[in-house]
Amino acid sequence: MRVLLVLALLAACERVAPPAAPAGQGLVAGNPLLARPDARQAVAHRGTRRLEFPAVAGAASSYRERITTDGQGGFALEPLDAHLASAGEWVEFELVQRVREGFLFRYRDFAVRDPERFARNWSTSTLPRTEVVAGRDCALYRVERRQGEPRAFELALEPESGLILASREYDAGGRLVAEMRYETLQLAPDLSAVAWHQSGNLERPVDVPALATELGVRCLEPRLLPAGYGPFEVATVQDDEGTTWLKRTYSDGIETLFFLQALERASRSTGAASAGAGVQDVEAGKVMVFELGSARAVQGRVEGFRILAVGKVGETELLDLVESALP
Amino acid sequence: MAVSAHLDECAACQQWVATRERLGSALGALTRLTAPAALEQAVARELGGDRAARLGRALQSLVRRGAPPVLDERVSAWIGRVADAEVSEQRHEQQAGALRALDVQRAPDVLERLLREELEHPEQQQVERFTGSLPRLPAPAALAERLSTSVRRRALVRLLAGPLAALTAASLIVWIALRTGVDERRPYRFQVVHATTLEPLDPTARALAESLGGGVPR
Repeated sequence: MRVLLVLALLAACERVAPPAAPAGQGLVAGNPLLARPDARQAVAHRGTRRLEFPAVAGAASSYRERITTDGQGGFALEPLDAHLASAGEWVEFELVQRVREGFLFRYRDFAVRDPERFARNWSTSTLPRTEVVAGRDCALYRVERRQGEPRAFELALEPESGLILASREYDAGGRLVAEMRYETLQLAPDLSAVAWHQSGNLERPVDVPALATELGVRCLEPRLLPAGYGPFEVATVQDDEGTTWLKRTYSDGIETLFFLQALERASRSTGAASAGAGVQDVEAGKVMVFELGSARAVQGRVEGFRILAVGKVGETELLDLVESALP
Repeated sequence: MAVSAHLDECAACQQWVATRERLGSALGALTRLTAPAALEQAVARELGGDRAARLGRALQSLVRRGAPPVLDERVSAWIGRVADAEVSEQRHEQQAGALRALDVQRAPDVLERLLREELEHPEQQQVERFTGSLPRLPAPAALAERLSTSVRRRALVRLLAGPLAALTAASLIVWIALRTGVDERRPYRFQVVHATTLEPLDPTARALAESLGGGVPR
C-alpha cells in the first residue's frame, strides 16, 4: 500500500512539470508588468475603450467609455454608450457609472496593485505573437494564479508607455468573464477641459490605533485571509447615510478584497446600533451572503459590530475572514 | 501523426514516454490491496465537503506579522553599541529579553480549533489532507461496465430478496446523509443566511462588489 501511495505521489508530481514548453512561450525573466505596475496613473493619456462581460446576464453586459488620466493620479471615466433597451435605462446606467467612477478606476481594471504579492501569487508567460490594439503594436502576456483556482488574464501591453491596452479575464473553468480593449489612444492629450474625478466618500488613510482611541471603538482586523492575500491599505470612508466605515483593503497582487466595519458605538447586549440602522441591516447574530457574478459580499451585525466583506473569493473564505475578525 | 513523427525525432520526449511506460508497468504489476475502512470513510467525508482544503488554507493564509517599530529601533541601537565580540553574550540576553517583552498575539479562534482537531486526530487529518490533494481521475470504461453489470445484478437480487431490506437500507442511507450534513455544517459564531435578492445589500458593499465584477449594475 505504501509503495502504491509513493508511486501515485511521484506520478502526480511529474504531471506538474510538462516535458517541454511550447515554442516561444516561457516564464518572463524581467517581468515587464512590474516595470510600471499601474501605468494608467503614471502615463497621461486619453482613449476610448470597450468593456464586455459575457457572464453577465441581461442588459449592459457591454459598454464603451472614455478614460483620461493626467499621469499624476488624476483620472476621469466617462460612459459613452451601452446596449440598453431604453433611454431611461441609459440614464440610470450612466448615473451609476459616474457615481462609482472611483471604484471602477481603482478596482475594476487589471492592474498590478501589489508588486511583491503579484510576483509571489501569479506567474507571467509571454505569448508567441503580437497584437495591434488602438493602432499600436502590443506584446501579449498570460498571467495565471499559482495556487487556488486557476484563474488567468491575457494582456496586451504597449511596450513604450507600459499601458495595458487590452485584457481578457478567464475564470477557473477557462471561461471568458471580462474583456477590455482600447479602441483609440492618445498620449499626452489636451487636459484643459477634463472634469476630473472627485472623491465623494471622503476616503482618507488612517492610523488605526489612533482612530480607535479617538472614537473609543474597537477596530476589528481579520486574521484569517484567503490564500495569497495580504494587507494593502486602510482608510475610512463615508456612505450616503453619513455612516463612517473603517475600510481595510487586501490584495493578492491583482485582485482586491474589502473588509469594512461601521464606526459606531454599539450595544453588545442587544446588538443594536445607535446610528446607521436602515433597511440594509439584518438581524443581530446573522450574516447574509450575496452573489454578484464573480464577486461575493457578506454583510451582517455580529456581536455588536456592523460588518461588510466583499471580494472575488469563495463564500467559505469570506465567512472565515469575518469570523476571524471577531474579538 | 504529427506527435508520432515528433516522437521519432525527439530524444527528450522519447525518454519522457519511456518513463511513463515504465511507471505504468510498475503500477500495473503491483498487488491489488483493499483499502482500509478508515480510508474509505475519510474519502467519503472529503467528497462530501472541502474540509481538507479549508484546513490547508487556514494554515497558509495567516496574516504575516511584522516586527513592531520599537523592536527595530532597539535592535539597531544594540547592534551599534555592541561592536566587539566580548559582549555578544550580553547582546543575546538583551535580544531574548526584547523578544520576551513583545505582545503575545492570540491566534484566531478558527485556527485554534483547526489545530486542536489536528492534534487530537493526526492520522485522520493526514488521511484527509492526502486524499484531498490526489488528482481526481475518471474511471476507465471497463470499470464502469463492470459496475453497471454489478448494479443490475444487485438490483435484481434486491427486487427478489424483498423490498423490506431495500427500504431499510434506504432509510439507513438517508439517516447517514442527514447525519453527515449536520457534521459538515460550519460552526460559525453567527448564523449564515443566503440572500435571494440584492435589495438588502448595503449600497457601499453593492458598489464595491459590482465594481469588482465589471461595474455592470445587476
